[in-house]
Amino acid sequence: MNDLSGLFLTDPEAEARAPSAPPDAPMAMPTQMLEQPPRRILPMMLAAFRPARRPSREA
Amino acid sequence: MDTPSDWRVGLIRLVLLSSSILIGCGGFVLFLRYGAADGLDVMDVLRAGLILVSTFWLAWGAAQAFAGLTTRPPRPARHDGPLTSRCVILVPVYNEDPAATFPRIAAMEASLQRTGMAAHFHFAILSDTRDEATAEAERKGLHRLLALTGAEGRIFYRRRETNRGRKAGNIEDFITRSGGAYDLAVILDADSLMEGDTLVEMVRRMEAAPDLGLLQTLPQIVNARSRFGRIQQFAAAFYSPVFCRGLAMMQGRTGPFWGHNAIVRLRAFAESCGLPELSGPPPFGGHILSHDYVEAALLARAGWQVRVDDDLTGSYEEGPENMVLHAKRDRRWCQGNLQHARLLTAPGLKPWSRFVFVQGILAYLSPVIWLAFLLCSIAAPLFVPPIDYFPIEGWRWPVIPVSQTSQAVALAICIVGLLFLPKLLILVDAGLRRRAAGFGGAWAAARSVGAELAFSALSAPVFLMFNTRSVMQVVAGVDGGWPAQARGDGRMTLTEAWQASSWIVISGLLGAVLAFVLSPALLPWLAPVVVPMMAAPAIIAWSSAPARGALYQTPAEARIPDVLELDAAFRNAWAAPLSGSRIAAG
Repeated sequence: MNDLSGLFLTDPEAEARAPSAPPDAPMAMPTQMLEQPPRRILPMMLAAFRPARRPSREA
Repeated sequence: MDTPSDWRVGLIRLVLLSSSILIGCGGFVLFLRYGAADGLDVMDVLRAGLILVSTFWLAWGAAQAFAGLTTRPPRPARHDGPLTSRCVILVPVYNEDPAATFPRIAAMEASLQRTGMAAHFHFAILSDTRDEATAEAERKGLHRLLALTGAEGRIFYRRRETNRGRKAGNIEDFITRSGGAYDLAVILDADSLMEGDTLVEMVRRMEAAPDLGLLQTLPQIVNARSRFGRIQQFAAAFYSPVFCRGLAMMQGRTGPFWGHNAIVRLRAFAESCGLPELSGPPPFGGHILSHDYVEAALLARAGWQVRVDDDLTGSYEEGPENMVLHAKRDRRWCQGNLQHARLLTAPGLKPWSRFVFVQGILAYLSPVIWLAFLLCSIAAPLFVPPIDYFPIEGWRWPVIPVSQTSQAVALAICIVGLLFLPKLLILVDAGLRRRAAGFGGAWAAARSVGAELAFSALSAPVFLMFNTRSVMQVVAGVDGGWPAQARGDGRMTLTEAWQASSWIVISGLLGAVLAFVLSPALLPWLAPVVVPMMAAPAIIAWSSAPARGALYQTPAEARIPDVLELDAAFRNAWAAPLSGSRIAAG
């Protein structure tokens, strides 16, 4: 098939509707951590008073 | 080494911070002595505490100016050979008028052509525009821009489907899709303008310092037309370089990022600056609004150097043309800075980065602290204990308390001195170093400084109220959203000014009446605050009118920079019917 595009003037309006896109060259941008995970103070304090872990009866 | 050594930076920080704290403590003691004259009460101690914070904050600003006047950072290294980096200039737009934004891009492109280095630079217009008509104008504008510049293949445009993350998200979206094509990115605002020579120089400095993650310039305000705009423009040109030099002396490796007119190393930015959404709803949760401070802190956390070079010229932006637009912009910044309170304990940040967050918060809290001080002073007589004329048991003669008014006067002089002295010293310095020549000579600069000081004194109470309202709104959980930047001539009628500031007038009246009832002796001290508040509409309307006369001349007006001339030429070309003609770069 012949390429006829060179014979026709491009429509400026149509060109503007298909603007030049930036190059396709992905770069990773990992999300940073800025917030400390909430510290559960009460469970941490109570941990000291928890009885030593025992195997279950079934075991 | 491009920056002053660590011990020197540490010493400068220590000296300036400790002097500011000492001055703050001095204010605290002076006020306590004044308050103790009629017996110390809880209100005296509270007011002394407020004075301590406020005076520290004023002293800290003055200390930066003093550092800028007395020191000079070492000249930064630059790479002199051919440029080796690929650089993209990012222009984020958000419902901006393309007829204003796109000619600026054309001007920068033409300015780059003049350097002979344009091939190393691409432009990417990153649209977040929601308004369909404006988006259509942008698409057509791109065609026009390419026709005017002939830079097809080097100027790109894309529009996001969503606004996730606002401006920071817009930049992130570009980096994740196209960042791999470039080494460096210049981040601009829609109203930014930079000389081609400056852009090339920034690349050279980045190439000379492989550990430099971000290099910030100090943008000068240009194209101001109103009285308010021109006063801001003059202040930015006359005072800011000195404050910036002081900041540069203290920055070490943890310099500032102001969100635009800066260059970043894309690898560093990508690996360190992906911003999370904060837990919880706005205004304290959600997107990080003042992302620039956080990105500077994250770059420093990852070991990259962040630097502001005070000697880089040729960097411009536009400013708000009236006080209300200024206050609206401040509302956004206020919410962003107060949100940083959430990040003070973020893991791994450098101590100085945390202090920068505190400074940003204090910048918006300090007017509230002043207002609290004034309100406490009005209410203070209610808390004064009855005077005990016979404090010594068995002593027959009354003891008359000694007036401590002199302490109050000394404190007031100190505070006014901290406000005005840095600016006056900068004026003297400009006269001695012949910097004043660009401002119309020493006499013209002195008149401009005098007029600027007078306007600052008049407008400060009005801004104090706008600022306080912003803080209250944020604390109350009201989100300011993401309003588009209003640009234009900004002229306001008296009626419009009244609509924007009637609540300030009423507050001023209430304050005066309260003071008259509770503490009449305080009225003369309060007059410099309540009178401008009551005159707020007149001040706002007057200052929004076009400026006439020779006051507030700046170097950019005395000798118009090339890129500004190019911008004007392209604006004219933009306004003309489409012809496809190009403006010569050479």
